Amino acid sequence: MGYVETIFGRKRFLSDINSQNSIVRGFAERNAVNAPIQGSAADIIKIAMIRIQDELEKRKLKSKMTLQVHDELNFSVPQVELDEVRELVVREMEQAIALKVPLIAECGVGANWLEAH
Amino acid sequence: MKKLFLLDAYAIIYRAYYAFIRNPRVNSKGLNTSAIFGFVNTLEDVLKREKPTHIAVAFDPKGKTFRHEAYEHYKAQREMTPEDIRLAVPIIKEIVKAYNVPVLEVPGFEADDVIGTLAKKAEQNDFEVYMLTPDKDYGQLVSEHIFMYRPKHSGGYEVMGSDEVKAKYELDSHEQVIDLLGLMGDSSDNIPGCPGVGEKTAVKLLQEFGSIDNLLNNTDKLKGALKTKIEQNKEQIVFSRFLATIKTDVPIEFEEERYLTEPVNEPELRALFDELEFRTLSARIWNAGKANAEKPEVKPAVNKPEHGQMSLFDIPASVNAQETQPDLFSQLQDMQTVAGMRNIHEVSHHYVLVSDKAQRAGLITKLFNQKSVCFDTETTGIDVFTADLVGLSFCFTTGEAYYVPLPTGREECTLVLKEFKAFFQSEQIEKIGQNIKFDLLMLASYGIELRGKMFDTMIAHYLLQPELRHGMDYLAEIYLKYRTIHYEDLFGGKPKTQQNILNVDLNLLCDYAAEDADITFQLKQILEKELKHNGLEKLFYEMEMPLMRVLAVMEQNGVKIDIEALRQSSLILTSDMQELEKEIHTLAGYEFNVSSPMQVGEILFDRLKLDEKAKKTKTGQYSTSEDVLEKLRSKHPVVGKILDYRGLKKLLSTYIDALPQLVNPKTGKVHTTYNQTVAATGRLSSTNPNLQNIPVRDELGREIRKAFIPEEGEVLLSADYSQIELRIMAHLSGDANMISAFNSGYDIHAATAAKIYKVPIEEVTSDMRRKAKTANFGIIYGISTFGLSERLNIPRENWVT
Repeated sequence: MGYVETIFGRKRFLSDINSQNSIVRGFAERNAVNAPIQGSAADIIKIAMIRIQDELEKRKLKSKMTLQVHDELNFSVPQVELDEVRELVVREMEQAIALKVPLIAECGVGANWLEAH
Repeated sequence: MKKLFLLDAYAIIYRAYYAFIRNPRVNSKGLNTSAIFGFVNTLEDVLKREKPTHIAVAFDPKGKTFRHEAYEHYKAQREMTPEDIRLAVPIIKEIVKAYNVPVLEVPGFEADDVIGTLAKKAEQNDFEVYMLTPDKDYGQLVSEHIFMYRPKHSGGYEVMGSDEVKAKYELDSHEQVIDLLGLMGDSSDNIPGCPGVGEKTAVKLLQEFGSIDNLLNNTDKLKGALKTKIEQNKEQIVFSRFLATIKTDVPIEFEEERYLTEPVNEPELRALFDELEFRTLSARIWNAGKANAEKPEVKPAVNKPEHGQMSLFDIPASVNAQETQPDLFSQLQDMQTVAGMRNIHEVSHHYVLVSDKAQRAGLITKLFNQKSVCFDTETTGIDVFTADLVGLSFCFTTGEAYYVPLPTGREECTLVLKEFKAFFQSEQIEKIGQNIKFDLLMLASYGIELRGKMFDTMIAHYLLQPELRHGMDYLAEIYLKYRTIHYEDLFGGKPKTQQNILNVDLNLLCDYAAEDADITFQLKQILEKELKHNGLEKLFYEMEMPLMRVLAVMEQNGVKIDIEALRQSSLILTSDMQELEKEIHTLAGYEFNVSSPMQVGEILFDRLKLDEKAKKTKTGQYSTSEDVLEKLRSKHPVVGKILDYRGLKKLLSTYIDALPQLVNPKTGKVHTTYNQTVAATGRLSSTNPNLQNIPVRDELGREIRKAFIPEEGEVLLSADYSQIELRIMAHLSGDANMISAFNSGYDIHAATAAKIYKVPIEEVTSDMRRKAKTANFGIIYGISTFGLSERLNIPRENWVT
């Protein structure tokens, strides 16, 4: 059966891609474009999360990863670790994979999620 | 009385296929089984309900029929047969043969001609004939002994004889159905009819003139536009009548004995259903009766076959069929044994209850001799932050498993667990499990860290078949043809509230828990090979498994919530809602309960008359869903206010008022559950709370975000990928324009606009940029070219580059 895959080989099967029915085929066609993009975005943030958590543990930092939503990660960070953790998080996110274009992670700090976001 | 049933195969197949189109039934091999399932249900239904003495199924033949020869556009309207149907038809024929029901196919003639011919011949041989089809052209064939047997949208069937057909189309004779279709046409068969004449006009003409012949001879009695239409299309009308006429002289003999209803070929049918993974259906056909006879206390699936059989047709084509599927599967849960499937009583196994310290020591010695061990935990609940451990099960050889009950007191339990600590923390021994994150968190709450290589069968299957279910019971059925002891089975039908695992008989619990470990161990052996075979090992071992541990850490971390801020938000929003309610009453000119969809419907449609053609739901109320209201927004200011009111209400109930209740009393934090195997795209999702659904931009989303705070004395750091989807799109497509725009740090939407409108980037207007942005995101989120043109009001041709 036909499938599409993400940059990392995550598969999504498209059983209807050759359907003669244009409505059915339309769903599959849109999925064929959407799935690799959504899926690759998922892969990338997953790699970043694994590496960030590794680093936090390796450096025995007190900072904690607390939330993951869409393309965003949130941390609770002691003030003394802020510079180090911010640098670490942005670097691991941006370097999760080398694409033909740069990956950019934007960072905010605040007393709550609204202020930081 | 001899009773003959004639089934129009393609008519039933199409109907079934489109009933499930939004949520097709797909088996583990990726085969779309909607059409097959629907067809078999119909056949079963007829055999069980009507007990026909004679039966046959007619198929349209491959290639052209006499109608095609006569009219080249015939059925051109109908698109080519969908792939899934083409694949399904040979299987359906196999099934019909296994039912020992004759398959009829006559070259050059359609199924309705074959059925028409046989119906007339059978009638002469003292048969009562039922033609099973939803197609209305069959109305012309009915007689005193020939009936249409039409599936109804509301479920069940209606039997239509001459009187019913006449009443339905307001005709004097059922034969006028031919003339009716000749005039009004039939889009599904591409019978053109007379342009500009619909059902109403056609009926009126027939009431006045009786037939097409008489009408065409008396066109002088017509007036105005109708007269012109009829006169100009005389030939087409006559021809349409020819196309709509079902032949009753197809060269086929009616040999009674050939159509006699016979017992099914059970082994063959079972094998076919097995291959298709129609477990519930098998169970319903063969086991329901038996289970019922042997174990009267068990609720047999036969009690509710209507769900499976009728629901297929309760839903009009293209309606989401999701609701019907859980019903089908829940039937499965009621079964004690399932057709073609083995269970604990039929498979040799050695499940050992490990009840004292000496036995535990023996087990632990064995565990340390393994490279790979499957384990599972039994607990008092599914919330890891409040549940207690009840027992542990282990397996490292197929068919051999151990269950270790744990003492109930937290301290005693922790002591026994300590004996296993070195095993769980061993880096050398691979740990196998189903949904390991749960076990990992359970053990962690007793101070035991889980280490070493891990293999989660649920996650492995998610990578292999992202769109299917991944529960162990389901995987056991698919891969091992084994029906596990289900959790509910431990409680002998007691309601959920009275299900207490601590009261379950220890031997039963041992079987249940040991079986879980055994089956998961066996699944691993299969899934491991499948991952390798599909090139998914790297993704599994280097991404998903390490991520599982990270997610567990995040869940443990939890997040602090500012309960006081939420309380204030709640007060403010509640008073906002009251304000809104007053405004709504003033705007509407009536006082009513804005929270009641029924009252909203009455106000908008009965009193304010915003839409004369307002749709009603099955229960007879007006539909006031978001879609409906969005369309009416411009018609009356009250509509927008009602939508705002609902938005506020939902926000309050799902987040503002709900979040404080999710705070764990032990930790004082909210511990979201991350789901790694839910979204088919590969993205994570979360529950309790669902973080993905928090509104992103608007005022209300802000209120929620304000309540998420860092630990005491710390700050909250938030890092977000910028335009990651567009960047991935640039990378995957290799589009030079996008790549260079990103690499030189240009605004990507402006760059796209410059390309589309062929202007220098400096001359891009904000309107051009906005449209380019919609186009960029349209591609990502999968708007069709058509949808995109519509949204942007740009002709489609401009997009073809």
